[in-house]
Amino acid sequence: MQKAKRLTGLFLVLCLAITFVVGCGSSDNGAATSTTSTASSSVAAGSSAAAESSVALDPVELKWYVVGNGQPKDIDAVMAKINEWLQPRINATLKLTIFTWGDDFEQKMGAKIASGEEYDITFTSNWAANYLQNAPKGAFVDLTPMLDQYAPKTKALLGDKVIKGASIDGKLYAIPTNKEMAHNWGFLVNKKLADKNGIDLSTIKKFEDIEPALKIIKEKEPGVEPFQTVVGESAYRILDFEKMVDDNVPGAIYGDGRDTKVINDFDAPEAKALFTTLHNWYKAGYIRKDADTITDWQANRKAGKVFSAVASLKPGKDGEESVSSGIEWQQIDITAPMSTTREMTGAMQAISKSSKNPERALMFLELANTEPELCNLINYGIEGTHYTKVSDTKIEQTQAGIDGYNTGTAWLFANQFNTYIFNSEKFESATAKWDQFKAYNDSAKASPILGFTFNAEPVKTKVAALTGVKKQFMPGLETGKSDPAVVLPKFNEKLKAAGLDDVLAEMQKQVDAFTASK
Amino acid sequence: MGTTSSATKKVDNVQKIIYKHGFLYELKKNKVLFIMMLPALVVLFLNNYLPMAGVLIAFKNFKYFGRNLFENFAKSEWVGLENFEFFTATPDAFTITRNTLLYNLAFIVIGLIVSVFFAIILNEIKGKYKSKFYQASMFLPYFMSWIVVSYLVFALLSEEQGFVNKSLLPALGMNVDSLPSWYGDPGKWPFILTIVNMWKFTGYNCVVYVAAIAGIDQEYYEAATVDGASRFYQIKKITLPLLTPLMVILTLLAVGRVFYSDFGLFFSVTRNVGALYDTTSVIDTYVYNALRNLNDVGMASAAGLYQSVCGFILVLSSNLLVRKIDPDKALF
Amino acid sequence: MRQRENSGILNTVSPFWNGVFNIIFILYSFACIIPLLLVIGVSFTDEKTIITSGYNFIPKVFSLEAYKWVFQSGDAIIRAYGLSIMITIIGTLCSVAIIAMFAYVISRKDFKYRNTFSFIVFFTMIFNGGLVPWYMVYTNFLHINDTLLAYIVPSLVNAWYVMIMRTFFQTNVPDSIIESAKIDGAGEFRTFLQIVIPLAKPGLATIALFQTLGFWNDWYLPLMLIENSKLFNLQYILYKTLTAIQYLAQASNVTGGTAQILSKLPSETARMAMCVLAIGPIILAYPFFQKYFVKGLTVGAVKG
Repeated sequence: MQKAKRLTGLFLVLCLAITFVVGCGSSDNGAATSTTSTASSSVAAGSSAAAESSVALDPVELKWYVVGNGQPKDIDAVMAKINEWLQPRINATLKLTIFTWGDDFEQKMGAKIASGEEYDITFTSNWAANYLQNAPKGAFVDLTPMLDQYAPKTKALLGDKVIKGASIDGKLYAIPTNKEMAHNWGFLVNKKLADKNGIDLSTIKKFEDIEPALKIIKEKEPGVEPFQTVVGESAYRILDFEKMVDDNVPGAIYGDGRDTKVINDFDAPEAKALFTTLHNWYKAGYIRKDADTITDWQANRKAGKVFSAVASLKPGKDGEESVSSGIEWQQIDITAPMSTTREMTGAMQAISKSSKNPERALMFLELANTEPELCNLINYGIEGTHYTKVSDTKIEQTQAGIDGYNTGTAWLFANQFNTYIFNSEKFESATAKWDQFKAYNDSAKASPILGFTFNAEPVKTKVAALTGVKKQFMPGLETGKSDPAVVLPKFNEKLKAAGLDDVLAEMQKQVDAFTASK
Repeated sequence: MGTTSSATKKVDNVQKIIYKHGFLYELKKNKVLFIMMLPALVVLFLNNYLPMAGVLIAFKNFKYFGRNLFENFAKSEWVGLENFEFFTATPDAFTITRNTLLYNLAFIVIGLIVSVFFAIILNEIKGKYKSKFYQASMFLPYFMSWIVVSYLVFALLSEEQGFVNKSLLPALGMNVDSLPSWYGDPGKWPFILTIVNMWKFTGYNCVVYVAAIAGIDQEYYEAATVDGASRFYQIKKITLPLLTPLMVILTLLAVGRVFYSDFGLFFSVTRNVGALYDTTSVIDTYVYNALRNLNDVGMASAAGLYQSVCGFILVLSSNLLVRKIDPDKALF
Repeated sequence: MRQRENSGILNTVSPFWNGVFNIIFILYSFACIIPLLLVIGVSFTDEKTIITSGYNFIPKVFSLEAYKWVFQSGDAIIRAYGLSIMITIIGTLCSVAIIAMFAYVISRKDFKYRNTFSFIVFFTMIFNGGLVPWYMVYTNFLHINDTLLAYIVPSLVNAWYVMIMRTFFQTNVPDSIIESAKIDGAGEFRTFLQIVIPLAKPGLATIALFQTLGFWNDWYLPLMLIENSKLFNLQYILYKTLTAIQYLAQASNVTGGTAQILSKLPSETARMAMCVLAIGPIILAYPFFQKYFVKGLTVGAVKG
């Protein structure tokens, strides 16, 4: 044993020594490049025109990671085309990698961020590669001082409201995708099934109004889920609480902006009423019995086996969904459009602190935001191969496009207002659609705490504990499986034991400080 | 290796007496043995020991400052035991610790009994093809990854289309309205999980014992037969005692891991259904559920370190105990 | 067990107990196989039947749709199959060699540091440094992420198997044999190869079988370390497909676009078909394996 101890000691020392050597090696590297890049940026600062000319720039490769459906087959061909376009402009080549939804992206990005692996740009948001957690910890480059020099047009494009909304403590760590900047909640309904069974959708004005339709579907369409509500994609969201952290942590203000009082939203009277309705629907068989065990909800929706579901809406959402899922959907708006931090941080591109060329990465994002040609290349592939133009702004995907380059995530990359739209969408031209988006953005009411982000650091252990409790009780409630009269009191009791009151108090404190500073 | 041995020689010449029975002397004497160990040592070093320096992250408020882990590590602030607090902050600390320990205890004890039992009686089966077939089918569950197993369990127990609720129980005359809600009742899961775990691993554990029984010198049995001992008596007096070292080792190894649990079993097979947490939540799944959205490297490391330390203390003490009773059977 | 029939000296349990043992095993084997039969049954059932009458062992309406659908996906799955087989073979061979050499040394009673080195191995079972530093060793230090080595290197040494192997050497390789080999003037390495290895065949076969399964069933390493979709192994594709069935549609050659495919997709049965395909090859390979495995057991027993 003595020997063993000594030897283990030796091993640990060796580990540390090697770690140290490796560490020094790479940090030397880092230091060297950071000095050169600061040098070049100070040169660039001298004459901002220099930044534009590619002559002064060394060739670099930009690694860009996003979430999606995995690598499309023709990605290499499209990248070659993009690089042909990109190289003469900023002397950079792009290497875009699309991971698959969920764990794949989270695990990979989590490891890359935590280990300080070198990459340049990543997709981030409040729901993937968690922007609100990673940015304050320093995972991403603070872009605020760089915007004027490297991305002035993007800055103008996004406008003050969006930039403030996406900033954390006044610092912008990622460029939001330019898209709709508001949301409302409502239903997506399978139109074919509705028409077939003679259901009049125009009578549905509030959440409960859909019940008669569910009854008809239940009786006449065996094998179809009348109402889909699963964990993570649940009906609970229609209450539109403005959450402080995310869906997993209690604490929110009312989404209609009536005040800035932080409450435990899971225990609000509205929530209780909703849970009761859902439980009744569950008992009536409108919700599938194993809803709380379902993780792969999209497949059934795309297979036409879902009649209705609660969804986040925007103008033309049904059209976009119809194209991407091949099922004709009709949207029913229930809540009023609101503009909150949630949309500002819903889809963004951040530049990694481990990037050796943050300036070039930002230049690239500027181009992606301002040059329709580049944006459309990324979104739809090569003209003539993957799509053909029907009019100036409308396209039709070719078979090769459908098979080989069908990312279906126009809301994710750069500037959606610069993209083409599909011929099958209801708008007569892209401009018409984007005008409607702009009108929608303008009509949206701004949240009283727009731009506020909660810093969970002081209560992070309690936030973790609350998340654990939520995952125990909420799946049963949001799928209607649990009886709220029995479960809700237990749920709240346990939340309290996990430190709910302290967390709510901290939230209120930060919200008050934020509103006072405005 | 070359430089090491020449260095050894030099040292050896100067301080021969001091090092005569020391490590370097041994290194020189058994050069070949050390070379044989080298590949494994290199892999262990890279894969296991090098990352161990990372446990220090558990004591840091880990943030990102520069372009690599070391800079981030060096500049992050020391926070002592703060990262371990989330474990005490949860009202479920007792539940998850209890679940983890009880499940593992059940798996160890039942697993040991069942697999030794099957190994011994498999050895008694006459007929080559029969025993081959049994062995093959017992091993079948081990082939399947947890994801596949979770689908098997789901195919049986699903409340929408599961075989048990849709076909078996109605066929047995059970009222359609009073069918059990498998994924809704936590009380059923201690049994389900134990059965699933046994089902998956018995064949696997059994094979190890079968191999060991096959390795027992046949002369023992022949001599016993000549003396007129019955087969059961032989099993008791020859097979079991000769299997004991292996049983002790495997049990000790398992004891060291009682604070860990099979993530696949507790996460995939239960489909992470919240309603079942009272009986299915274990340390690993709790940590995953609570910390996944937080992206906090420090807290995740703290959870891992906690499991390691507890397991380490347990295994050291049980090894000490075994050594007291029978030094030959101790692990190290 | 089998050698007993040859020697004929040993007595056996009574026919009554033999019958009891057989019944136990028949029941147990049945329990092991039955869930698999259910999955196979479901995979051959018509999708609509599943929705109305649930999962069943015998397809009420027989259908090959699920398999047709899976195999339409073309080269992605075939390449993954090939990769998985290659990784499994190379990985198992290397790993068994490394484990055996190490376990042999620490099993030698005349090796002074055997306990120290046992401890070094054992320690890795309880203590680990966490995911992030581990990940860094492979990506920033060894730089083998996104190569086939990433499938093999991390699984080469498994402490559990080293300990099993050590015990096996200790109980099945008598010191006297090694001593006499030494006296005959055989070098350490020759002793190991020519005398110890043949004696340890049952143990080696056991470890090899476990490692084969380990390499075959691994989806975690590609999840962490592989980005290039051409290097995905079969289990990783299965993992992705089982968590989101549309992944396969994305990777497929089927014409008609993701949406159209999915609307026709038999999602319940296709998942089960994927499960069958995942276990299929290894079940087919098992009889061959078992042949050597059982031979190994016999040889070990006779010589031991």
